[in-house]
Amino acid sequence: MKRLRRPSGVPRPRKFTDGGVVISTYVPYELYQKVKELARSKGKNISEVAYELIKRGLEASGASAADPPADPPDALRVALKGLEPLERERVLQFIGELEEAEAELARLGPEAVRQARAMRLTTPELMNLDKKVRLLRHTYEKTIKKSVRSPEVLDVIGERLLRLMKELGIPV
Amino acid sequence: MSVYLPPDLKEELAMRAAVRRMSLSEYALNLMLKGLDIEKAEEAERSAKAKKVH
Repeated sequence: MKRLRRPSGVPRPRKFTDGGVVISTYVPYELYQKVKELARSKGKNISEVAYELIKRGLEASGASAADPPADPPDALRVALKGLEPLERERVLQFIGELEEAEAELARLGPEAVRQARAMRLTTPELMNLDKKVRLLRHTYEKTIKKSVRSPEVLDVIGERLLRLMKELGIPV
Repeated sequence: MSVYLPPDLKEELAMRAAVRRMSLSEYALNLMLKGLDIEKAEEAERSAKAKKVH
């Protein structure tokens, strides 16, 4: 079938209405070949297929922003077993503080969350919670990330902290 | 490999990469591998179903 040419002066339709960005990833040649093959079989270009794979991978890792699932406690328990006692103590303390902040957010209710997202920290409780979560972020960055070497543990607690920060509209 | 993404997804990936102490490239690579595994599993399931039908 003959492809119709777009008349000159008519812009190409945008794939993403808000505009897109290009990221570069360094991948093994074998993976590149697989993605290329998949793209050919689907009649798409490599970038489109890579984008789909990233989205699927993100959904599968439970990192979907729309509906994050609860943390798997078993996975965390297993990961914690592998830590040094001091590391474990530090992580457990951090998780305790995270849980406190999560409970506080749940107590304040959805209206407070909506206000926080709109960056309107109107009540003292909300301001305190914002301060607490920012402190947790600082602790995570300066202590936990540097001392805890287990990627599984960092994964689980990092996700929880991120979720909390997102709820409160705190930038990373 | 260059991947064209919506900006909010890039932000999301960058955030998640940062909490995992990974670069954006590394994290995207991990997700692609995971996505490819899912794709393979689905393909295997599809072909198993097709075999059952015949």
